[in-house]
Amino acid sequence: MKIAVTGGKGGTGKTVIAVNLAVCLAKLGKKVAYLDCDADCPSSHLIVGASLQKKEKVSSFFPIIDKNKCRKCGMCVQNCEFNALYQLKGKPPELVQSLCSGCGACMIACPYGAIKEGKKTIGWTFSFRKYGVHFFSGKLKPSEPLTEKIVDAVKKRGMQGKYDIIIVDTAAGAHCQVVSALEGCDKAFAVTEPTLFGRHDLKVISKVLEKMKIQYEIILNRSTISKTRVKSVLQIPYDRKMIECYVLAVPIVEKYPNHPISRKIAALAKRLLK
Amino acid sequence: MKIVIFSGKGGTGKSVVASSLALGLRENIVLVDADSDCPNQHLLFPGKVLRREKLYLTKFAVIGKGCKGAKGIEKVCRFGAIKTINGKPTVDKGKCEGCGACVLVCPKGTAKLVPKLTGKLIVSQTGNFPLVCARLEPGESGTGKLVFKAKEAAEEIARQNRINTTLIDAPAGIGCPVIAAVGGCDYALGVVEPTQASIANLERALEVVKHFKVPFSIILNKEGISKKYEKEIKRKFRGKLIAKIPHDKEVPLLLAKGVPPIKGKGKAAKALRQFVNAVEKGTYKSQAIVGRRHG
Repeated sequence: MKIAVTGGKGGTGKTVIAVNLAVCLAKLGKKVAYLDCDADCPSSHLIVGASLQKKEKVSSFFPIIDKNKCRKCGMCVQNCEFNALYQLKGKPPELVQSLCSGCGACMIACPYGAIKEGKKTIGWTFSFRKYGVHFFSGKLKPSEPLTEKIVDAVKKRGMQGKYDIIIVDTAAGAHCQVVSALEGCDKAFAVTEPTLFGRHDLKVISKVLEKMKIQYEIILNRSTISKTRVKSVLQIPYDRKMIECYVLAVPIVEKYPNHPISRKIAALAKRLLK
Repeated sequence: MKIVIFSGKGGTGKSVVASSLALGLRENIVLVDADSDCPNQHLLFPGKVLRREKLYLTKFAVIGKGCKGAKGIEKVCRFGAIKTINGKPTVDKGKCEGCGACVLVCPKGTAKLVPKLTGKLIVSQTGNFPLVCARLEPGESGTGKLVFKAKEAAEEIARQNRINTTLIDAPAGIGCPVIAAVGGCDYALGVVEPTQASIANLERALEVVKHFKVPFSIILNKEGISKKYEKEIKRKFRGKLIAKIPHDKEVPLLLAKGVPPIKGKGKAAKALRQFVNAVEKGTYKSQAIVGRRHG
């Protein structure tokens, strides 16, 4: 079973809740994989106090232009949908790396075979174990635009093993990267908070989830800061202990297993297994 | 003068800092909400909508009925968007980036690129300033292009109305929309909270800022959560830290009501006012933030 934890707004507690849920499931004797699909800013390893290990490269295509074969026809420039190639009059085309999507259309478009397949590193994937959970994480190389490719790589790597439950932690927002992460999930939890921003962004992400036909339930974090009519399966009050655990980099279910919040999360984990 | 507010990690207070500057600065400003996935500034600053425009910035491939499939067509698509179902190649619209590689290899011209709705550009007049917001169609790609469009629209408004400061509220992350938001700015303000995740992600976002050679300063938000990480921030960003906003429960309460936090009475609101005043006076040693003209 693949369970996504998402929410739209940033900083609502997606990663903290996902990590705690994963640790609870592992305590119940399940084989759990945790996929940190926020390849822009991965933070699950920081929340459990682990370091990223077993680095693997993720690479993407980029065109290498053979200036001797190039006849400056401009076909590659015309066919680049991302405006990553430009050409000065009478000169061979130049590439803007940060715009290149690595689609390879220029290589197909070139009638003279002057464009060769190049490979550049656009990020890395990692894996490590902590609290009985097998974590997988990815990192985009800064100033590269292809986050969703890293997300796909993390998912591919994480799904090689056999697990009872896979927890997929997505990034903030509702664009292609989040969609890549949500793809193939059986169920989702949308984490939100009772602020105007939280409610608005929840609406956006629920549209995406409905479009993708993923059944979802809402988790309300910092539920005590304001009243709300949002129907949620789990309410986590605003609590200094949560912040303390965050700063100490230990999941609350490990540090204070008998705290009311820990019990609530454990109950949710048990319900998931039914 | 284009100022971008960024953070890497979500929920650190970008929108709070941006809204405070938008309200507090006595300069003429235009505010761009570059968080096109989940724009929020319009919730704090409701106003009259002046312009609403549908944007078709991205494309997707459609394979026509005449196609009988070709060997290796699936491999042509580097995004894994083409799958052969019942002997006929089919495009997964969600995965298609609209690059046109399949169109180029199709010998009979049955594959075509069709524009798709990327999102909407909404310009509104709030109490004191115009607000430009690009809103992504939920789940689509093309946030970077949307942000570019929003910045272009803001520049035009600035030119027409002789506005000298553009504030850009960037989204979380470091991917394409952040690259689009940061590129071409004159100044960047990074918002950090004293947590390990926030520091690590700010450093990643800073690599993008440095890539574009944009000068930057750092604002510490939610001061008081952790002494350890506050020390680390002070050590890591020495000389760049220009303001500290204390952790204050009033801020989420105000946000719950849709009131910009600078209008509050607590210690965070006070610190935000001091921060904006200091920006206004240009007292920061590193660089006078306000005062330069556009372009």
